[in-house]
Amino acid sequence: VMNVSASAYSQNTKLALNLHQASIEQVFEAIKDQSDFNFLYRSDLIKEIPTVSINVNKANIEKVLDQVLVPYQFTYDVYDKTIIIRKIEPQEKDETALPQKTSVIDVSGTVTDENGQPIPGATIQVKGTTKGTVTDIEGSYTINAEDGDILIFSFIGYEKQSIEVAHQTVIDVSLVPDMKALEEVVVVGYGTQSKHNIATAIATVTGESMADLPVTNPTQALVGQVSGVQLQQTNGAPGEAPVVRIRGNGSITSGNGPLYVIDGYPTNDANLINAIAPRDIESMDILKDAAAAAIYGSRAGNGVIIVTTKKGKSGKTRFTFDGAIGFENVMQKYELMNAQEFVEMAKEGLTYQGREIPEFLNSPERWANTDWQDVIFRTAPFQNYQLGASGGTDKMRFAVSAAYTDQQGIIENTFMKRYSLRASFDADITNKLRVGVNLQPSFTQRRTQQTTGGNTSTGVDGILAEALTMPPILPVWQENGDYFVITQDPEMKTIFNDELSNPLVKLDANKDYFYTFRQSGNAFLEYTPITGLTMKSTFNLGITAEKEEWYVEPFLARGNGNTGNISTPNLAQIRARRQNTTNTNWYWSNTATYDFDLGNSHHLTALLGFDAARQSDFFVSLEPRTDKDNPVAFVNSNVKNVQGAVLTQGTSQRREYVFDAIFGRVNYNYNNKYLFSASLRRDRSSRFGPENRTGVFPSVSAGWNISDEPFMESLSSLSMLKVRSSYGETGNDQLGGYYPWITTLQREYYVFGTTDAQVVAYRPGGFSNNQLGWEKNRQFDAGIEVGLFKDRVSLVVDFYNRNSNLILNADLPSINGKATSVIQNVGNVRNRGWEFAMNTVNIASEFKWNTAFNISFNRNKIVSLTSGQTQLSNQGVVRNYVGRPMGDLYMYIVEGTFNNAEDVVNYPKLGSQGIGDLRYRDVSGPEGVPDGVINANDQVRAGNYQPDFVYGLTNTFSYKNLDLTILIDGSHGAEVYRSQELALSLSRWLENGSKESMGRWRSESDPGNGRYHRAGTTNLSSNIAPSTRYLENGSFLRVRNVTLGYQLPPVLLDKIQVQQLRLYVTGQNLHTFSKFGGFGNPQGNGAGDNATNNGVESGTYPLARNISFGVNLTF
Amino acid sequence: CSNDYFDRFPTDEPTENTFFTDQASIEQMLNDGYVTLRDAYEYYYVIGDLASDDVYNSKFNNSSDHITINESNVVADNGIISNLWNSAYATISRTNLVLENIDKVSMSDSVRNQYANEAKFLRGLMYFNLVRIYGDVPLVLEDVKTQEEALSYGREAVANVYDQIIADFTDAEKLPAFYTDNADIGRATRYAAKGMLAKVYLTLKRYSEANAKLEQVMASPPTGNANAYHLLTSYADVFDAANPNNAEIIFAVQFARGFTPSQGNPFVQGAMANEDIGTGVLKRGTGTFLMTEDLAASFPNSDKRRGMFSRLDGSRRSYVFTTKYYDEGMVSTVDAGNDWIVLRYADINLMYAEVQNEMGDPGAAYPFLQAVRTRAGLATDENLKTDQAAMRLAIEQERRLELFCEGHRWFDLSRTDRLLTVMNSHFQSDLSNDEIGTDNMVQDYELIFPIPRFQVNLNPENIDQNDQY
Repeated sequence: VMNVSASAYSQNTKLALNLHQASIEQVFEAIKDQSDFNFLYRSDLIKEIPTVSINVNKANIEKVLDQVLVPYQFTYDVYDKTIIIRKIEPQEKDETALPQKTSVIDVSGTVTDENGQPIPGATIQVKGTTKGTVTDIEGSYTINAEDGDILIFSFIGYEKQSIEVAHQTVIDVSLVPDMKALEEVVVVGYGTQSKHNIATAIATVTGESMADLPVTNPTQALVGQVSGVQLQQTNGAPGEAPVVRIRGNGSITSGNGPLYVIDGYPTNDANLINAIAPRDIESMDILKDAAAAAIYGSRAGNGVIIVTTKKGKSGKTRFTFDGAIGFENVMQKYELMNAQEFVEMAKEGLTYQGREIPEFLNSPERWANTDWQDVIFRTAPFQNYQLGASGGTDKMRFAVSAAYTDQQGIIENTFMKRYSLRASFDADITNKLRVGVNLQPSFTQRRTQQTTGGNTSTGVDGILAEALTMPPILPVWQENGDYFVITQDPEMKTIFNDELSNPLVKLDANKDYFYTFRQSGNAFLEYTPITGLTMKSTFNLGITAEKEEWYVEPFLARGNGNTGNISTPNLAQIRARRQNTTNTNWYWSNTATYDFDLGNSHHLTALLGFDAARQSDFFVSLEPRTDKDNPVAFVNSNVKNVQGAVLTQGTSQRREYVFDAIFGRVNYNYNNKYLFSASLRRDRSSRFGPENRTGVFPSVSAGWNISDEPFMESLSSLSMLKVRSSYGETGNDQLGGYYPWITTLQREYYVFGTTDAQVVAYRPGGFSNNQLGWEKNRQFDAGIEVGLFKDRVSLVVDFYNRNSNLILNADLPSINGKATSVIQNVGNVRNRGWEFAMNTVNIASEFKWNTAFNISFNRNKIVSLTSGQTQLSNQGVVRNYVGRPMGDLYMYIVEGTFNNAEDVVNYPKLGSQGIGDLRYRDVSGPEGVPDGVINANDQVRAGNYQPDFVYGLTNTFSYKNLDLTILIDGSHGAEVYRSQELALSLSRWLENGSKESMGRWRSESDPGNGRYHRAGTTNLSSNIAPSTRYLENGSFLRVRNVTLGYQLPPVLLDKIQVQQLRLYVTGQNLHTFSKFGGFGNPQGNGAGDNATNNGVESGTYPLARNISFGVNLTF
Repeated sequence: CSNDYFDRFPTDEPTENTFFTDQASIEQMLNDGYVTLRDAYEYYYVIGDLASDDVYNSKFNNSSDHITINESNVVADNGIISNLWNSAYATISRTNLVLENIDKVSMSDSVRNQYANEAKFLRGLMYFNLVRIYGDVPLVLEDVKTQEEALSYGREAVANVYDQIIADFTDAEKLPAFYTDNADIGRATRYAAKGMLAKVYLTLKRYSEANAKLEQVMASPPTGNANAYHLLTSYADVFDAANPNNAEIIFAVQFARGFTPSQGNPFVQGAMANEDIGTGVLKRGTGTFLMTEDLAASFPNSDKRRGMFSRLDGSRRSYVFTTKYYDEGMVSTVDAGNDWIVLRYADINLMYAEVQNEMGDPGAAYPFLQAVRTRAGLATDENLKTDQAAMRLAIEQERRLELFCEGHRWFDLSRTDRLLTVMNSHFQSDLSNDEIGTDNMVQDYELIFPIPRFQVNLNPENIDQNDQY
């Protein structure tokens, strides 16, 4: 009689019940006590069943239920361990009352996915009835049906298929993925929403699209994949993540980085997301417009990136192993002069200076012919492994994984190693209560080097500049095994710059290690008291503990005449420091979401919540560090070891930050066609002055799914059309320091007396501002989403206008004597732009070709600063003016060289220039007309570091078991001042120069290319003044990644008992098309994540090219 | 959460609102007025000596800020010009804070008066430097509390600035004659105020007032008192790091060796050549404070003051450098204990000689010139007693030799209106390319320096630039 799918469990589980006058719920409880069955039913309906009595032994579930339910017009379905109880509908009752038709047959078969892999748990239902079953682990099913029945095969994420039985007894089905369904849900603030019903600008990057990239952090994996997001890889050091900008730079004083929400935990600490192994990421949803982000109010001013890590799913436990192993090389070497060319230049310089040419330069047999770039660079191994398991029962799900990444840097003695674990677990305690725990501990070890800095830096920095300028005729090592150091060689130091260090000495001597432990974990409780209402409470606890251990070996021979070397250690060179930063925080978030329908067409979702957070930082630094193995020298040069060591300097600091917020959001749609949402949030942050610490952030959005309108049905080629618009306000409290509104006094010392008597002094810190309040962004967005030809072509276009009311360290006349600025809520920056994202399925046969393209145009403008102020305080190459985008580049315009005495008389000079020096254009004087003098008036705007547009292009191809992905990204229209070239200056010092400087001025008859002054110049400061000689086009198109994969066919896999095995080879940073010289990274920026001091590439850690081989295994 | 929950304040540093509570806080703020003098004088020699014919910058250091000052090609973007301005106003702000808050806390009247007058001395000293370097300058006499206030200050006429300097130094004349507590020695005294006041009057050519102040310095304290100022027997002893605040020193910026954080002076670093010569910690410096060959040659062979400079041959040239800031015990070139002397008794002697000569009595000037020369082991030409013009030049030359590398030369030439003559003849002499470039000259407008460009840009309505900069 019953429509029961006889699962193995239900057949094999035997029950013994002896109940008298029990309620039906008591019967269910008794069954649950003896088994894993659980029951789903409407409690209001089963009240119709009076008390029952039952006495059975070794009965299966069906026998029990037949006895207690059927007499009361109730029936049931058994889905493995889940039993659904329902009332028998009148006509059904009639049907069940009839005797079985003779035409009933058993239909069986297998349900597989597009790859032929069995799908366990797929549902098979007889259309128009409640008859149904699910597939077992092998994907097999059996169902009894009648000839005319239609079977509906379905599984989440796949398109439904209907097949008529028509005398078939075996029906095998291959389901195809439902692309629409996979994309359907996007993660929004405090929840998820159907993409169809969203009226804001949200972009999603799936974990899949970043899985193969040989990168060490998720941010790197975003490059080129999303419109409206600009990623600037300012530095190529191991593990280094790019700077992230969503829709431009909106702040001058505060940070410009987005808010990251990692599994519900909001943080501005990019390190936290970058400590996640890219393969652990399920998806990253980028909330670009303010309406999408406003629910995170306070800290969402620069957009939000929601990171969702992989979670377990019910079903068979899946084991995965992913491994990649490869190597890295410097992407582009600097083109330098070789030994012969160098000597030629050196002789020219010496002759010009009237100095004797030493014998050494005329004796090629004594030249070492060293390529100093080869000395500091290396081919570095790269490895990345991850082992994971996930699965669960219908009541609980889990996912655990362990990952290990080892990236040895392309510069000697740099590396990053990361060990990370991830565990997530959630369980349905009852039908209404779900709990879960997520843990993400990671441990990172790094060794860093100071690559930037001048080539005569006396610290441990300037390694790149030194490697570029060290004369190629000098050796790396001395015969006795010591490093070769110019200042220690009596002959060489008379010719060459004795301040120049051997870069390898610094790389070996500088032992700067960072050990970072991060743990971010949360536990949640989700309660559904009534249908549609979900209440969730999440508590996060995070800790970051970073330890630095720094030690500089006594063989460091800093250029300035020191004697340190391996055989002659100079203990006074020892530097040592030990530092520890501990950050602890908690975050508590509570939300209630109510979903309900008013009639058939009105759908409403309401969210209400509050959250609170507290962060506490602790920092301690001791110098010098004392250590058994590392002797410590003191300023008085009496070297002591740990027993006698005294700390000479120590600092410590403790800082706190608290915030809380209440928020609400309403989403309404009519027939899924007309979409509206509004949100409101109120935040309080301890970062602001007592008088203005509360901020209110509203947002509204509206959208129209035009393609759902009946009048659009005739346009069959248009599968989707949506227009949407939003407005929202968001805040930014990423101010440096924890108490930006209040200034403190700093302790200083002075010494009086005929014998030294130290006294304490206090220096006023500046200006406090009790009224300091929120930095606010107001953003308008309008977008259109189009799908053509059954969504084979989809296009999203957005326009936005983002206006940021700044918090500004408004510059002050320094006559105040205390501070150069005061922090205020003044100034305004605007970002305006267009974004286009297009996906096309170009070929969809056995050979598949998909393309994703995005391009973003952002226009940034400083609208105002404080009243009367026309520019920010930076006065060097990078300047920021009202009415202009941030980061204009100012410099002299090179017109050529002074070729003879006549030129020196005829043309204006900078300082005391002479023949062979660079000649600059006389643009204007104080009166605005050329005045015959080269001075600051002649430094003109020659560029800006912000590009006109950035773009990304991904092509994926697959044919049978082969897949190929090519990812290209680029940037166009930026100018960059390549200040690293300043070190290669052809100065008096006889240092090596670039290959291009072969075109230098040599004589009146051989004046060169007009870009390079004479060798050995005595007017160096004039010749290396900021000029267009160092300005380069920062446009580039980079073949960011090419990955070729091969999926082993199922036949083979069956033999080795694995579900899936894929092998691939991948290359990162394969080639850059660009005119940019040096190490070829126009995005390099020594000032790092700084919007108003950017566009000067001073020699940051060069980018690496990575070639790796990998495997993905599922079993 | 209640609103109080958000009241988070720094707990490990004092905040502005809570600082001024007791006598110690006033003293500590005043002490910072002395601390900031170190910055002010680190840039002062760049004008006093580097801009003059006494000192050059070795161009091998490629420091365009130093080179352009050395070559008289200064532009308003020059970083030193800006630092000099900022550091002077830093000291001024400390003094204004002291004066504004001193009545709010309890302390004895004598201490209160002392602190207030010390503050006025430091303020007067900074305005005296500012007005001589920049001409008209903003006269800030109150703590600046808001942006509007900071923007409201325009440049005050030189004469008005001098009125304030005289008022401040005059008040500071009430300071104690000397201090007995070791931890106070080095603070401004009555005689420091009188001596500076004399220099102000001399600069303003108000000779009789200068004369009166100098005589007060010379007359007091009574002879025989250990605190009486006088010329030390040995020139070298004046500068000895082990002999700070000796009887010749009237006011000096204090430095000390061997402290962490460092309290050492940075001058020896500039004085050393920027190539690898010499021995020990003095092997190499930055070469921003090297003596010109011309200055070195000006010392007669028998001049004992030759002991305070030295010569080393490098691979590129031979360097002459002062050893006035050389501390035997230092282990780093930025950790010398030698003080920067602002006013010493030899200066008083030579100012007095100048005043007597300008008042028409070279005979009265003679013994004071002679006293300085005698210590240097030199005879003094008797004919000077009757020749005012010759005496004028003799005093100028003596000041150059006696006070070399102490930051006086540019200001002395400026005071006597001799800058253009002396400097342009210096630029036209046969100088090496490393010492000075080619074709330089000091033009009229270059007698004062530009206002830092950014300070003009920031407040163009109130702050205009000096002509032709």
